Amino acid sequence: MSRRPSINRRLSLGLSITAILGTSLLLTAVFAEYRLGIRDLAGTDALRFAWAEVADHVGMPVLLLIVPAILTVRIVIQRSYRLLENSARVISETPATRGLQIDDRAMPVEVLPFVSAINDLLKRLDHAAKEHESFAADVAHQIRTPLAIMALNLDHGANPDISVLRAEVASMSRLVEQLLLLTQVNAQAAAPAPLESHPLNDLVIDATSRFAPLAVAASRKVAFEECAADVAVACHKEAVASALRNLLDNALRITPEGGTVVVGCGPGKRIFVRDEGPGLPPDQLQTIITRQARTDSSQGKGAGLGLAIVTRIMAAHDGQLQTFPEKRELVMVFPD
Amino acid sequence: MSDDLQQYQVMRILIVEDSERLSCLIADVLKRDGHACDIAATLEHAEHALDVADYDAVLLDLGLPDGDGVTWLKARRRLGLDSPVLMLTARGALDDRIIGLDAGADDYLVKPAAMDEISARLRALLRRPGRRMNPVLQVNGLQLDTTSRQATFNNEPLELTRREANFLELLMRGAGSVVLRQKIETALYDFDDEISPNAIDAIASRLRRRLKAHGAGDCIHTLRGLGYLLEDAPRKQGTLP
Repeated sequence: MSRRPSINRRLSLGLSITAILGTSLLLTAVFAEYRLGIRDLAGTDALRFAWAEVADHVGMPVLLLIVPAILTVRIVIQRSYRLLENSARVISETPATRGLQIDDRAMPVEVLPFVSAINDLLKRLDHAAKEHESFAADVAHQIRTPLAIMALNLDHGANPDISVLRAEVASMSRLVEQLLLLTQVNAQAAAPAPLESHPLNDLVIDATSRFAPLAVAASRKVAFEECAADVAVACHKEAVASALRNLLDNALRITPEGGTVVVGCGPGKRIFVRDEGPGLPPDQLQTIITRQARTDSSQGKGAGLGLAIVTRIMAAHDGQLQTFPEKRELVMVFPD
Repeated sequence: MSDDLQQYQVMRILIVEDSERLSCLIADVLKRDGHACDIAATLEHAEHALDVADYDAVLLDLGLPDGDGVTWLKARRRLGLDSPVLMLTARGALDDRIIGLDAGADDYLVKPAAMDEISARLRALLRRPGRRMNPVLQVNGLQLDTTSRQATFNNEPLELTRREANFLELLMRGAGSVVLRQKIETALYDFDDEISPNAIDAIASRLRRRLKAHGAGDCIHTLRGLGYLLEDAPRKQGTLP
């Protein structure tokens, strides 16, 4: 069994070794100074004399230096670590799980990097917890709305409006699907798989043609614009396809019936989705993806979650989601 | 919808799903469509069912109490299972679709899936060329006898040229999904070696006119840059989930 390293033990050991080495060196120096040899210690008197000399001039000084040194060091170490022990106790005794920071004002310089790393970690945990909470609140809010509508409809009388119920169930299913996708994307980001090179045109055609029946069923058209020079992009294919599907879904919702959603590649490593909505200003995109926007945002139900997913997927590819409101385009930009 | 459905050939479908509520619900809908359904709650039951009967399609859930559907399907495919398989699953890492298709599934749906979508996908699978393929294709009142090349709409014969019939067959086999332009080009080239890309648009618009003349409405959609789509089910106007 390996013992846990202890600073006290190591210091005592180090100082003992120093004492032994120092003593030997001093003895050698004494022997050299007095030109003594082994022969000179032959008689009993001579040996006793030599021992007395060594004890006076070597043993005593070494002991006098080393023993206080060991004691002082132990005390200093204990004092310094008491500060850490105290803050450990404060941490474990503090009931609040939020906003906890270690007080580093009294901390010795040497442990500051560690303490500030811990404080930084605590801050990040706080941030993550806060984000998680507001996210859960958003989701609850988004689920409550369709539930309320359905409950109202069911209470309304003998003939609930089936189409309303169906639409609300569909919107909840979509939300759940997006939540599932978000957890998948997060899991992917936590343990990233190696990216593979895929031709952009093929990827977009595949994802778009899988989406098109939905658009046709909703009386919208979908068109694809091929990029002249086909480029390959290092990516996680299914993730990019999901991102594109979210953009298409979003575009479909803000395009009026009979309108066309145009999707295409290029120029370069870019995928664009053009809709017939009002165009999304960059600051609004920012608000939407930081999950500030709730159900009743102008982008329609669930747009926030969808666009947040796209942004995350693009970030995992070192790319980004950009908006060009004048062209009514949302663009997935991959790094060159 | 039930009028057209009576004309569908009776299919035998195996539902492998451990949630009894879900499997009964699916079976009810499929039975209403005129299909015969067997339910297996475990892979072991599914094994028995496949040993004693021939199925036209298998609906396979992935997370089953006695094993993993993907591994099972892989093994079963090696043993010669050739029925089309639609995977239906609640779990889902991003690559599950690819893994499922690689394991030998023909299509993949993530729960929660609408019943409409499940039955539409099943219909699409049953229309694919396969071992017990019905020579008569059927989509919403539109019929095409693939051997005699005779097409009808609501039992009225449609006068089609050979190319139009070939084009229609491609669309009907892929009804409800996009038939990519490239695929049409290659397929029509196989049938007939003197076809230009523009000719496809011409065939499509002629076919569309003929169908409209018979009151079929606008059921062939052009998706610019992608291909064509033949509507599988009557559209609910402008509905969005």
